[in-house]
Amino acid sequence: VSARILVVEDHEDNRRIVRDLLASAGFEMIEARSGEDAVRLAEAERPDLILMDLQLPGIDGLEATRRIKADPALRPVPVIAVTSYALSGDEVKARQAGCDDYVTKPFSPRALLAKIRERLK
Amino acid sequence: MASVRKKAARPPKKPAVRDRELARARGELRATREILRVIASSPADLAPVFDAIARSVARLCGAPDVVIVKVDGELLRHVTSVGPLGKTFGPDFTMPLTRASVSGRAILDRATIQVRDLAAESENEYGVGRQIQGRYRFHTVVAAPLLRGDTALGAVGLLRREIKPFSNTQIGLLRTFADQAAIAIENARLFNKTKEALERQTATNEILRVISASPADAMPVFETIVRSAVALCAGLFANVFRFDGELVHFAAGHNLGPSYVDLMQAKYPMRPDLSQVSGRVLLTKSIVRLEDALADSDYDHRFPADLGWRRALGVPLLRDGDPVGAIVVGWKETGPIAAAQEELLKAFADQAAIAIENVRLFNETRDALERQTATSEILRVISSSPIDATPVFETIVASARRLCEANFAAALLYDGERLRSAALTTVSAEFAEYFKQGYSVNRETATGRAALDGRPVQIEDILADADFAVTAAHRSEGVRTVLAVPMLRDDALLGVISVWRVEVRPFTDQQVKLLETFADQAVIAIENVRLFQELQAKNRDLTEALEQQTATSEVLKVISRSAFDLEPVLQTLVENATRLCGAEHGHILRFDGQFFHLAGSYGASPYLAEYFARNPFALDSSSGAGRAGLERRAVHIHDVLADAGYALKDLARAEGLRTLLAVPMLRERALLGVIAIWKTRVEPFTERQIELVTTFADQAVIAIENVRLFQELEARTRELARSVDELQALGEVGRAVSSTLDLDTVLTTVVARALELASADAGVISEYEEGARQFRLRTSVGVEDELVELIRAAPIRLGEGTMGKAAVTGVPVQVADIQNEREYDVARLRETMARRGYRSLISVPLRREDRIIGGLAVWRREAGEFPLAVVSALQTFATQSTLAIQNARLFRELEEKGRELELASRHKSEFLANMSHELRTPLNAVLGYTELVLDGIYGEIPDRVRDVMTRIDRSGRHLLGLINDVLDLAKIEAGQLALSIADYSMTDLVQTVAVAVEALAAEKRLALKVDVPADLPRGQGDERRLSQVLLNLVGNALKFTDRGEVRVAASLGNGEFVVAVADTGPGIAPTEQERIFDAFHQADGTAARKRGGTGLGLSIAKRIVDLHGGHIWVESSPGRGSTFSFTVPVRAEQRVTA
Repeated sequence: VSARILVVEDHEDNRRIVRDLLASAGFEMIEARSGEDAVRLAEAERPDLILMDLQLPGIDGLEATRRIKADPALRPVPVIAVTSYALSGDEVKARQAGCDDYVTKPFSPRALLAKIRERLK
Repeated sequence: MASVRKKAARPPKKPAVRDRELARARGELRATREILRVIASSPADLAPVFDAIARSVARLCGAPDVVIVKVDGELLRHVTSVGPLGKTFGPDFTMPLTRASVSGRAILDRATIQVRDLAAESENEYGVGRQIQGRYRFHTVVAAPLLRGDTALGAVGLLRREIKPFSNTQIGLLRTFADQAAIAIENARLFNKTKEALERQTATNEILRVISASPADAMPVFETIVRSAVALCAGLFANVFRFDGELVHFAAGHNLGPSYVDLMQAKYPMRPDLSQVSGRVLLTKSIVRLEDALADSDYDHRFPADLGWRRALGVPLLRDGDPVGAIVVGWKETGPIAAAQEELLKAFADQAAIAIENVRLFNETRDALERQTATSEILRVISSSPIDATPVFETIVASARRLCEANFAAALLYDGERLRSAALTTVSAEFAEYFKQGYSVNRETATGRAALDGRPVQIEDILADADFAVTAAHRSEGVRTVLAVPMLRDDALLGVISVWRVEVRPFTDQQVKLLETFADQAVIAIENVRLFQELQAKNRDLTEALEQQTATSEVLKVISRSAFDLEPVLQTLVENATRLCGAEHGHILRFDGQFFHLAGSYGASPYLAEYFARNPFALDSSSGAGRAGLERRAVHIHDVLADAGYALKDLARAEGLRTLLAVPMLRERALLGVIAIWKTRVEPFTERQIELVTTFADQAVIAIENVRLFQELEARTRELARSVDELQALGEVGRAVSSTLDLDTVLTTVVARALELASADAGVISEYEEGARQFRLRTSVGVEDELVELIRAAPIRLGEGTMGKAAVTGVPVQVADIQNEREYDVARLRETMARRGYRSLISVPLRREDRIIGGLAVWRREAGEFPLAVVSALQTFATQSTLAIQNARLFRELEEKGRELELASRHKSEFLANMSHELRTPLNAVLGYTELVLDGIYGEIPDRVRDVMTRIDRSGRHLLGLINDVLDLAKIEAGQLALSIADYSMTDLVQTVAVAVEALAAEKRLALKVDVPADLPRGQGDERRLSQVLLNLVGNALKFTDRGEVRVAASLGNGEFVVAVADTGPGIAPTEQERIFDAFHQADGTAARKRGGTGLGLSIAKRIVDLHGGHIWVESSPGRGSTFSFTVPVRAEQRVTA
């Protein structure tokens, strides 16, 4: 059974790169373009893993993660933060919000895929 | 047994009873008196006393039988007794002293004891008493102890043959009598004890009395001794002998018959031999005991035979161990001699020796004593008349006459020419006249000769002396022998003493000597008088000097005390000068170059002072002061009324002034003034007084000079103090300007200091507003709120008031009195300022180059111009204020720019951070797609495409590197780069970096050599950042080196890791080396373009090393490669960067 992954990303190209990557690896993908969408889709679709961009229109990735993690049913779902912020303290903030992992842009699709696979084990 | 102490209560008495008691009391009194009388009349004999006591006790106590016993060691011995029963106790009666008898118990208990019936008492209680009772048959008995203090002497016992206890009254009486008996016993004891001593004492006293009564004659002593010896030794006769070292002389005897005296006178004086006791004593120098003279064959038997004595005792009289005589006592009986008598005689011998010695001494000293007495009398007179030798001479002549046994005596004094009579004993009027004429020093008289020869001259008979000028006076007086002794002091003739006799009888040597002594004493007296007079004169001088000294020191004290005030000094001077010179008035006048002015006076009338004030003297000879000033010396006018030149006679007459002394006060030759003192009588001043006033004048000059110098000094000091104040104020202002950029603080300081310096009351600093052409009040000190508001409401305009004018003209403008409307034109302030008491003000412009900055104004509550010094100080303050205002303005601008810059910097950092974020998103797409394509996600790609894609990937990564570096730099500059300090291994770090660049080195065919010891200690620091530094250095080395090698070495030294990266690249020029760690710099632009790189790497590396507390540097020269090194502390700590 292929896993379903919620990808939260507002940038078209980056979303497509992940989509192409996940599709080639045989994952099912649900896409969200905003924090609100992300929370709604997470509750509705119950994905196996969430890739969360932190810089989003509307509520940001951190807030979205907090809300998702506040749902007991969703709490076990791994959330991997994907962000272009690379300042010190950003990763700490992400982990405090509930993110299980942290990947900075630009990321290597190969490395990201390896991380996803590891999380889903 | 019953012990009765005392009385029971008495019943009220009836008259008959009272009469009876009275009679009895009288009886008792009589008895007591009787006993006391007996005690007094027979102190040595106890028997009558005890008899009297026993009789009285028997009569008064109602006991017929009385026994008195006394303590005698362990026994009680009978003393006396009365009554039929008492008499049966014989004089030999004794009993042991124990508690077993009533008397014994009374004695031992010190208490009166009554026993109702001794027969009824037990044997245990009164064993002895019972035995006596058994023998003498009595029943009731009472015994009282005889006590002397605590000592029991005996007891009085009352006995009754029947059983009838004694009453308390009777027992009380008994006790009284017992006490009296005790007194009697004690009396007797003492009496007997002292009687014997007294007898001997009396004899000794008698002898001593005689010794002292006849110091010149031993005979009465000897007579007393022989008499006492016979009496006290109970002898037949006694003799005293004297021994002169050769012969024994009979001196005195007692109880010798006429025939015996004849015998003695025939025998004595004699050489000591054995035929006499005296001879034996003197031969043996010891006591001789002759037990029987007739039995001694050596003895001259005529003597004992004549008087009928047999036994004799002889004692030597010794002086210093040598016999000077003997004392002999004889007795009728033969036999040994009692020791007591021998002792007694020895005492008499001592006394006789003393008497002999006394006499000798007395005779030896009597003459000396007489002379001594005369001498001491003279000395006494000398000491009592130190100022007058006459009484001494009188005493001397009197003594000389008496002791030299002369008819008269005379003392004459030499006056350098003649000898004049100083003292003379009573002579006839004629002879007295002769003496009065005095003597010439020639050989015509003994006196003249003694004076000439300087030694005693005696003329045994003047009538027989050819040279002697015998006068009628000599003849009528009958003078024959004369002795004259000179009085000499150190061979200088002072006078002559002469004694005269009206018979021809030369004076003895001793008398000559005596007269010489008198002469010496006369010299002493004369000397005394001379010394005394000298001393007195000196004392007078000293007193005067002391007085002057005191006055001088007082003046000096006043001078030193009033260094800046002349008046008290001059006043003291004139006072002392007047007083010490015995003058009544004194003036001290100061000369001003033209006239004299009164500066101090003493004793003068107020009128005189007024006169001086109205009519100052000129420097001319009309006045004493003028004359003294003119002549530059002291002027002494004995009587101004008689002085022709003196012009102020009317004044002198009115004031009663007569004698004048005027002394000029001169400094070098300059006349400062005159001291003039006056007497109201004609009496010239002495040289000493003139000298004194001169001294005072000198002191006045000193004082005037002092004051002048002091005032000069004070002025200088004041000036200096102001300068110092000014400097201090300026310093403070300067400090304020430089230490604070708060303009208000600075300006307030300036104004406050300006006020202090200018002695002003209020001040302001205003800033000029160019647009409004007016002055805005900036700072005020001491200005009332009311005025501040007034100035704020209507600011001073340019050209208006002092500040406006000062600004226009560029120079200080002041108003000496604001009430002068012409002077001060700011009408709207004038009234309020005046009401607040301000009178003057000054404004100083604040200008910079030609620009008006503002003004400084200070106000005073005192009218008048500001001193030049103040104005110049204010100008300095104004300059400081201008500077401060300028500073403040500049600072304000600077601060603003700084704020802007800071903001810009912050914006830049934020911008860079944002940029870095924004760039990542598209870069993510570029690198992401490229990787997906190269990974064949989108299918197989031709090699040419793969090659292109690979190039895109590489460029994209370079871009990412750039973005990361820029971000790091931005973080560093924003102070946001924090180290993550943790443990790390430098060895591992170096190895990891080496592995990371291995591929690159291999690709460029460069040798990469790593030299790192395995045993480096673990370090503490940010491993990731340090890796970044090393990676950068090694990366650069590989990047810029085309041939050769890159060597990486790490070591430990000085608590630091030292890491060096050496390459064989092109090297770096020295000028470049300095800038190589700056941001955005590459050694060679061309190279950078060729080699790639952001130019930020070294800059970032430097910051990271700095953050670790290490440093980084390069050593290089073009063509010889480069070595980049850095150090970091083994244990680095987080550092805060600005």
